[in-house]
Amino acid sequence: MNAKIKETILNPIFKGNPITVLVLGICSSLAVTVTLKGALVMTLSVIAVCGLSSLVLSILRNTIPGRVRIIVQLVVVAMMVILVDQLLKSFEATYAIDRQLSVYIGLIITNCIVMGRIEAFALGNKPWPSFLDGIANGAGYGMILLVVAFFRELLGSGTLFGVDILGRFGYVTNNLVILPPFALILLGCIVWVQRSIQKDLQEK
Amino acid sequence: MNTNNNGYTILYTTVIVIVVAAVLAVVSQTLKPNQLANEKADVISQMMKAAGLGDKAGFEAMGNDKVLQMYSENIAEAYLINAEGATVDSLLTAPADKIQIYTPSMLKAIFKTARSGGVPEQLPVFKFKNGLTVIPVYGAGLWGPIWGYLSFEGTTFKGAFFDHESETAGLGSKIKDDPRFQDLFVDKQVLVAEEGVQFEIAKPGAHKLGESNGIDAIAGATMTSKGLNEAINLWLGLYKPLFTGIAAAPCEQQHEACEGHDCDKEQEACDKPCCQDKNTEE
Amino acid sequence: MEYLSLFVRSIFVDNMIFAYFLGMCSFLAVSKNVKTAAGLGVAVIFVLLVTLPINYLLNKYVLAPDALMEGVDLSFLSFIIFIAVIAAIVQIVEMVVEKFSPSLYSSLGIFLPLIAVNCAILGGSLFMQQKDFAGIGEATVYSLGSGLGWFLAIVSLAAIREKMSYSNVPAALKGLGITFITVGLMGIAFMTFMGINL
Repeated sequence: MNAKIKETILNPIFKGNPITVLVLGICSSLAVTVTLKGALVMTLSVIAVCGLSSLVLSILRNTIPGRVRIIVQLVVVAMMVILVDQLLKSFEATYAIDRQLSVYIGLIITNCIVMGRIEAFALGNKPWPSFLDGIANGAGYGMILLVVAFFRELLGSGTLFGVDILGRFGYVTNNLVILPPFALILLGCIVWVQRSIQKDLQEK
Repeated sequence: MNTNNNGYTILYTTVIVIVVAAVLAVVSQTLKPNQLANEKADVISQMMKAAGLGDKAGFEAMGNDKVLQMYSENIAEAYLINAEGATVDSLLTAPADKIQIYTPSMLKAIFKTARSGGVPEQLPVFKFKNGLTVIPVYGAGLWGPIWGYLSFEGTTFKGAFFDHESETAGLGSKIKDDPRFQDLFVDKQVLVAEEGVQFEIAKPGAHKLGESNGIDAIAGATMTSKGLNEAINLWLGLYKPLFTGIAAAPCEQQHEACEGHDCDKEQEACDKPCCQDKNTEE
Repeated sequence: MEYLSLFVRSIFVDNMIFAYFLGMCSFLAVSKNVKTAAGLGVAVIFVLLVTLPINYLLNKYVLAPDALMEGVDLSFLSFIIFIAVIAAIVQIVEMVVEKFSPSLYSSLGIFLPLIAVNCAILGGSLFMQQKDFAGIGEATVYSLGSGLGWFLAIVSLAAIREKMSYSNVPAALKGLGITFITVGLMGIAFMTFMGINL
């Protein structure tokens, strides 16, 4: 694997993380992080949508008429999202999760990460690197999602993936953590930690 | 290639839209049976959770086939009644692929009719072999629809399970996620009065009915609790014949129901003719 | 009365930002000063107000089960139709504004393309579908209310951020970090509206 491809994959996960550095795709990161399971399904969905849309649009990149560019992108992304949604609904294991995530799966369409990577990368690069870029950005997004969900489920319900962890030590669950605004406060703390380590990201 | 002339743009957009629509139509048609099967198993497991069958947490891992099988083993009969309480039709309970249920969207239709003052023609009743009768409820919570199932023995709740589309996580969502809330219903009684069949979910201290006819609302989820209260009362009202039938049962049975109650304090609950007889006897 | 309560509810209780956290990307990116924030807010109100009723009609008469023909259920297409309508409307609005009001275009123009991918707009349509409004009147009132709620949120955040530039925030928390936390606290404040009886 050459260095450029490695860079394509690793950059979005850490240094150029879509959520904490580029401030993209925050909308859905809050509502789906109450449980790790929901966050995991959302992560996988975003990775799939992001990778596949980047791939398809990169293949089509030279044929897309300039004036309807955004609409064509949205149609392709929406198609991928509907496919993911339909698939989630039809597996026994994911049906309940899909119901719980409901509109947020649909909102992947307007998740700025997907559109942002298509505009910034897929339309100017060959299909294979575009596909990897899509997947890596989805993964970078998912990583933050999982970190937030980890803390929210652990502190809010005392469980991880539904398995009782803290409850057996007599932990009293903290309801504030489950409420949506807390996800933002947690995100703020993650940014704080990241920027304390990577000083070059700090804003003046 | 010139990708900017009008003809090309229009042609391109048309082709993309047709291709996408075709792909989606095929996928949606192929997956539809699976999705319906999942919905059915989901509804059935919710009813069984309300009826106290199986382990509430264990259903998700069971798989659709087992859920359907468990249902066929435990259901006694399922039928439709009209507003007067007469049985108008029956629902199939076996074989597994023919089981008929009422999905939330069907409940929604009944809810809409009832809320606009109409009289629903058909109401589903599910009787399980453990002696419990299960009826559905459907209403509006804070953000979206809420629905669920209540199980009874006579006029006494024996279990409840609720679901919701988008109540606040950690507050309103407790109607689904918190078994402690659902367990509050157990052994509470509906109040069969002149005005209708009543039950009350209210803030502690704000109860108007007797202690045995209501439960406390969820703290912090005022609107969800209020919506659930309205939904339950609306549906209990629809199913009134189911309960008045019980209230008109032989006197012995009613004496039983009054046993252990302090008739002076719980005047409403024991305000039935038989009970008064009993009171005077004493 | 119904309309009024729906209106108030959609501004404060169902607030797009503080209750659902929709449209966060542009919310965070364009809230550095009040003037631009207000510009984007107005654009969001406008686009919501136009697209939501159109999507309502489409949903009711084309997409809903049995709406077009008995037995035809097109609801699986709703995401795609909604987003296509939104993208098309945004494009048309952009062209119209550019042609007839260049001054408005120069102040609003840069925000319009951003709005097509603003979750609040698509979210509005998806919630409309979920909430199942009785008529186009309700859908319109809801769209106006949600738009105003978004406007209110972004303008108040921008005002706080303007003031915050004078505060002594830890270096690593400056900018994005403290904004996240501020929005979280504002969200908690808005939760108090949830119990209001309307």
